[in-house]
Amino acid sequence: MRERMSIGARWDGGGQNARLRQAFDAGLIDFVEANYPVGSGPDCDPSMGIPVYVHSPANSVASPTGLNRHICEQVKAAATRFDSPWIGEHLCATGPEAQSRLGYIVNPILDPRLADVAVENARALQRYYGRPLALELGPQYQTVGEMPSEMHFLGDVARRADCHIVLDIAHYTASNRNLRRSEDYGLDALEPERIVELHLAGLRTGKDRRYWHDAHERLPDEGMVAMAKSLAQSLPNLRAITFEHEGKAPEADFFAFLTRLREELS
Amino acid sequence: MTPEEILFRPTSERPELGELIAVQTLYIKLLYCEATNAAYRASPTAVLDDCGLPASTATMLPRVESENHRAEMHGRRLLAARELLLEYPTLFATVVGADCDAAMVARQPFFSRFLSSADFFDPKRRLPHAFGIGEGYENVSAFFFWARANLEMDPQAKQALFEDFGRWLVKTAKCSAVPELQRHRRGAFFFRLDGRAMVVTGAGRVIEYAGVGDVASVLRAAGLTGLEDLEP
Repeated sequence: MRERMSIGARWDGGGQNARLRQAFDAGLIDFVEANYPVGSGPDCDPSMGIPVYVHSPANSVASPTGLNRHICEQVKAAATRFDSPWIGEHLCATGPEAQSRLGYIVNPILDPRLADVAVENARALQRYYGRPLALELGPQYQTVGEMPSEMHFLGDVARRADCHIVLDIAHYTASNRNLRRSEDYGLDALEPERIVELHLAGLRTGKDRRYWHDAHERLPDEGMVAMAKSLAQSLPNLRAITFEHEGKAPEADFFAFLTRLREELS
Repeated sequence: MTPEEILFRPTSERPELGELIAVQTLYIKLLYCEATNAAYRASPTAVLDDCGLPASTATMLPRVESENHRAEMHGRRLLAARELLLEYPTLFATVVGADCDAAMVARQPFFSRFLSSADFFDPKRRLPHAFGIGEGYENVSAFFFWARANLEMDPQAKQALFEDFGRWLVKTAKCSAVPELQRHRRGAFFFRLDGRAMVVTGAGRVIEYAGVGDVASVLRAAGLTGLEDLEP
């Protein structure tokens, strides 16, 4: 029998602790997901007695430059401390060297040789962490390289490295809209049984009203909610849905959406 | 091989990856640097040649004239501008305008020059990150080192740059366990163009120091960091 689906919320810092604690006590969330590394101050502990899923947007898994040892050590320590069921990692480069992040992750060049590098890194990282890796894509504005799409790149790397997948519905939808593809483009490039977690967040367009961007201050639109519901029914190994909603966004939206998720998806 | 040997070995030990690294480096540069975009638009082969890459690697690089590439560049500029506007509010109010937003900062020619500079791309031209993960994970100190050397500033702008950076430095030092940053906890100082010494206190206040003589030595002896000669 399929395990119960867990619902969680993204933790971005101590400013969210009160609402996350309240949501946990009310039975609206089962875990928080935190991006590592975090700082060392009193506001930098996401646990609060709540299970923590460890995620990292700072490692260059799909880069030939190698990875930053300090980041890997901190991510591993956090995952061990919280016994995170898997570790979310972005399939990306971060900067021109192993150690650097210029501001936002860099989507991989869609080249088979780079896919080989990502497979080697993901396998090694999974062994280093001693627990499963779940790979995630960032939003795409262009495709660079010879492979058909980033979804094919992800599907190939996840299969060969034997990794889980985090499907970020906001990133995925933004990519499809930005690249003028159908709303369900590329799902068939992923092995469904590898997807263990969904991310849900809002989207917005820029001033040009043409390109879509991740918007954690907003709620997911009805299309994305419908997609999440459909995937929750069809994906055989889906175990978690993480709602990404920044601490400055309205608290009422946060609780109302989690209530809806619990009623409709859990 | 152990996972550590695979993940953390120096790129110098992976000569077979040299071309991929060079292509990725150029790709990342094309996501930020207007000068590289202009050169690549004018002659892709010349840029590839400069990077030691064969013409065939053009298929691994963006179509720089495309609307999608420009949109991605714009988004990245905005994110970088947002990060800096948060920490340099006085400077940008002075050199861009009161109530300026990230989009206005992102449009400034000086901002393009920063995003095209070695200071922006080289992680070693920054301070270590507060979380103990090394250099290259924030742009605030990179911008300070670039602006201090390259931005034409009137006295008011120079004071704003040093004040804003000094406050960020002290604040960052206080929340970090990294020794290279902790040494800035007690405060920092700089000299205005009229020669007056200004101190950014450990509490983040900026005050004029009234002492005479070798002021810099006195302030350094008190544990304050001189911002004029601070280096990455």
